[in-house]
Amino acid sequence: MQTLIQTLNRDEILRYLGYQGQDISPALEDTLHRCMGRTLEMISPKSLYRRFKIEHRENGIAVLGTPVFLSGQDIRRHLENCEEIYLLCVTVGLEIEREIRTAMLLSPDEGVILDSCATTAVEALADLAEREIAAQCKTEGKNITWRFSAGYGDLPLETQKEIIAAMDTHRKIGLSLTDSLLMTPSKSVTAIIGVTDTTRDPRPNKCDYCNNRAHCAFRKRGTQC
Amino acid sequence: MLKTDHVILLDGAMGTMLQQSGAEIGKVPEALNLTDPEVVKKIHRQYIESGSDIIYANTFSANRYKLSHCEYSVEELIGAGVRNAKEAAQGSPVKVALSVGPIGELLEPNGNLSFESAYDMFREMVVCGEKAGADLVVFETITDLLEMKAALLAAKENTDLPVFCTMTFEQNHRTFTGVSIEAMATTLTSLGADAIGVNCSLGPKEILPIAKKLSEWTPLPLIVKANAGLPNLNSNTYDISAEEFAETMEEYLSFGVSIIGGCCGTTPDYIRCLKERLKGKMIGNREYLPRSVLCSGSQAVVVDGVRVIGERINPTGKKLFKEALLNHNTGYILTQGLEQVKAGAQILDVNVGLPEIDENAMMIEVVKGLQSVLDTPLQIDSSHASVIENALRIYNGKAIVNSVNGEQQVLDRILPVVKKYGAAVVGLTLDENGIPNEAQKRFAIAQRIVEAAKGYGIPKEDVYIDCLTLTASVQQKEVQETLKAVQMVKEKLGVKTVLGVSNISFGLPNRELINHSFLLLAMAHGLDCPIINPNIRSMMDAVDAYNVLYNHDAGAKQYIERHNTAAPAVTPAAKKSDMTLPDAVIGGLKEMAGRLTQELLQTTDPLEIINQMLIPALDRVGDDFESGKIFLPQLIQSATAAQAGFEQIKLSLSKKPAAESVSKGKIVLATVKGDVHDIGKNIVKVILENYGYDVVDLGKDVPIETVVQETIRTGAKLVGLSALMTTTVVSMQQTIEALHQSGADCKIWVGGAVLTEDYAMKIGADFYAKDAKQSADIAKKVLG
Repeated sequence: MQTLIQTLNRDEILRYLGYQGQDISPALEDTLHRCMGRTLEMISPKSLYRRFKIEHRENGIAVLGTPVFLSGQDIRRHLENCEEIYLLCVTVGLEIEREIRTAMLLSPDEGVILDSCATTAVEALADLAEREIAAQCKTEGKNITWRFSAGYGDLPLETQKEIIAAMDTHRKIGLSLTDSLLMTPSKSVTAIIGVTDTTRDPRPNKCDYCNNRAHCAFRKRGTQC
Repeated sequence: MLKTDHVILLDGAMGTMLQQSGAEIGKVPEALNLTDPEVVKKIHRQYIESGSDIIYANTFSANRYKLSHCEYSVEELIGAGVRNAKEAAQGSPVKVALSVGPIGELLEPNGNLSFESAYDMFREMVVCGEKAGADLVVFETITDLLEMKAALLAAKENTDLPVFCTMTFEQNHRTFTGVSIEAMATTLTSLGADAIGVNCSLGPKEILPIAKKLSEWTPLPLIVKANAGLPNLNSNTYDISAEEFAETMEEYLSFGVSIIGGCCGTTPDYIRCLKERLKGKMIGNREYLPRSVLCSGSQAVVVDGVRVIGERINPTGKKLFKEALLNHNTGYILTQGLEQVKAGAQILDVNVGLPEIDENAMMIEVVKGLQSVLDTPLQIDSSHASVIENALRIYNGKAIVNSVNGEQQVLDRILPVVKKYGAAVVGLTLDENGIPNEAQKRFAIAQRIVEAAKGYGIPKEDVYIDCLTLTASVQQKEVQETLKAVQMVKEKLGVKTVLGVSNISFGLPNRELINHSFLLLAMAHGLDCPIINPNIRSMMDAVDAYNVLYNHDAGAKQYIERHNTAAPAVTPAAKKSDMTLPDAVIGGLKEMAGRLTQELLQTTDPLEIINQMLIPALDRVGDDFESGKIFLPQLIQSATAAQAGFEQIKLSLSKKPAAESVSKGKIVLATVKGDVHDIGKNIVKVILENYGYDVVDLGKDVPIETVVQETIRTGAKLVGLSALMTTTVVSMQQTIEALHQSGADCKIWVGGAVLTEDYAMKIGADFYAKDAKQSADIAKKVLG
């Protein structure tokens, strides 16, 4: 069993399930805990990140030494003060997906809870890698931006294909894309993190870049995804 | 080329060398074959000078998928790659391998690349490679056994080249897709690879135990191409020197590895060190013992004791199962599989033959579906050779075919298919003259079957003889003949035996008693694989008892584990006799809801239970969900509780002769083409089913034509489409257009994370649902 992620944040899991303070019966609490344990058993967290120099161009950002080009104004703004970035790719693997599929057939309530547990796990993994990156940068007196992903704002989802290829994720962590640009395993995250000299944590609201903000169920409940 | 008494040296890394060369590597490293052939040839020459006997052409990722945005074609890059290698090898005895890596997109069920598309891409590569003059094909760095199978079949069906297959394992001795060493060895050996092994991901120290295990599971020559130690994923460096590398690689010879090279991080230095160190060294003996094994991609089942084959995936005599086949309700069929495995089945028989359906298509769908949720090996059960072949082709692992018999015609039709796809086979001891009464005559047929299999190259480890159970109430005398035949076949032919058990008791009271008594006798006579209903406790108990009494369960360990539990305590909830069915549904108590429905059915009309209790309870739950009183898991718990009630009702109706239906109408449901996220659709399905609708669930990534065809075929008046991504909403729109053009008389509703009411209307849907509750409201509006 993996040891990288040892706990899952219960509140996060409930948030993905649309929880708003309803009563949770002991039986449901039990199921929740069983699913959390099962998730920690079934995931195989793998992460991969590398640092690249970038070049600011009029219509976007070139990632030097790779064929990756990050186009659009939003990513330009996001990396305004950066000369370097990290590309980050993480996944919790395929096995948990089979577990979710099976649960959806046998006990769908566990299926949806497992699904949220897996989402929570992959986010925790991305946070972990991000903290490593932040620590590396801190030793140089630098700071990092928040995680920006393909499909945010006007950065096309197609960029995903270039990132995945440049990072050789299929070979290194078993992460690839379908022809319609969905990640497989689906519980995976790719992100672009800028390295900056700014001392203040430059974290604007991620909803500002989200194309779904107008009708987001999370925002309506006053939270974020 | 494949004598295994001396070492055959492969080359080292190509990618590492290309990076070091300073050449401009664009999106596709294979483009260098044309743009800078000298740099590639120079690397080949260095490996040849270092001592490689076989070099890999620079063709690893030159497949149609990875070249989709490249200005060169597969044929151009593979042609140039092989030619460069051949030119470098000119004048030497060095052979050139066409290197073929993974497509880069995952096959179903993990991704949405179909088996046949993958096959086609591999076919294109190997055909170009052979044309360009490659001496052999190497499929390498592949992590999905099904992808490897597509590759191997493509090479064997379209070229005459020898085929090497190497897969990439992680430290947990599994590949990224969960493939086990045993499953890989069993499957690729049976499919006819020329040599198999391991490459990439790990260094020689970490691969050693993997290769050792592999050597115990295959008689084939073994290949190892390790990385230069463990990689630092983030800096792209490796941690051991050429000398250390060669030192560890030497250990591999002791257990029979004979084809050796280097993967990522290795250079000509590493090959030179290997050459020096391995010079004149002998290859050790193998510890391989032939055995009877069946497997999926991740789990191997060795038949070296009693292994239960679950019989429940079969429509014969099962009204609900037939209905599920007709309604395309794959979920029901998969659940039958999951339940049997939970009850202890180690192999599952799969029979979906029904005159009214397309057995070919259904078999493929069910096999794929079962393999997406289960690790259990499958027994493909059909009387049609084409169904068997189609199922074996897309099956991940080594399956068993049910069945052939002593008729020469049948043997000649089925055995070549069994051999080609590396399956095992069940042989029934009957022929054109029927089932002989005497054991001796059944034995004679078994002997003929084993011989015929051998003639087709199927070893006896892969033949399972079924001596056929006769009904005790009709042919009481012959019951013993079956048992005698089992014993003779087992002892004299040395093959495994299988037997369908429950036929024995037809026409007798207390069938269970006869069944498990006969099962015990049969096991005592040498039965290996009883085909039974594992959900019947007394049958599995008989197997447990047999294993103790015949000393197969050392120290009765498993027996004690399974039988030492006291009778389950009565749960507190069960005592509350004052609970009503609606209470149970609202409380999400599945078992209670089932039990209460069962009780109510004694006195109350089924429709009344549905309309007066189940539906109102679900409505209340739906309102509570909408108002935020309960949240998603609670909604689903209530829905599954209601489902338990519906199941009891369906079960009781299926026992009545007249086909009374409680269905409120048919609904077709699909996650659209290109999209593999189906959790939302599955939630909607659970809810709709529990409102009493018949849901025809087409699954995920559903082709537009399939949605149209199934809507017309089933006459469904309502179609629900789901899409998660902006990229896949496009195919949602196309599906809606196609439905409209087909003239299908149906309403369409859509849902999914990126959709809105406005957008849904814009793409031509009739309704938009933001969640499962709204979906149920729409169904009520359209179907009542």
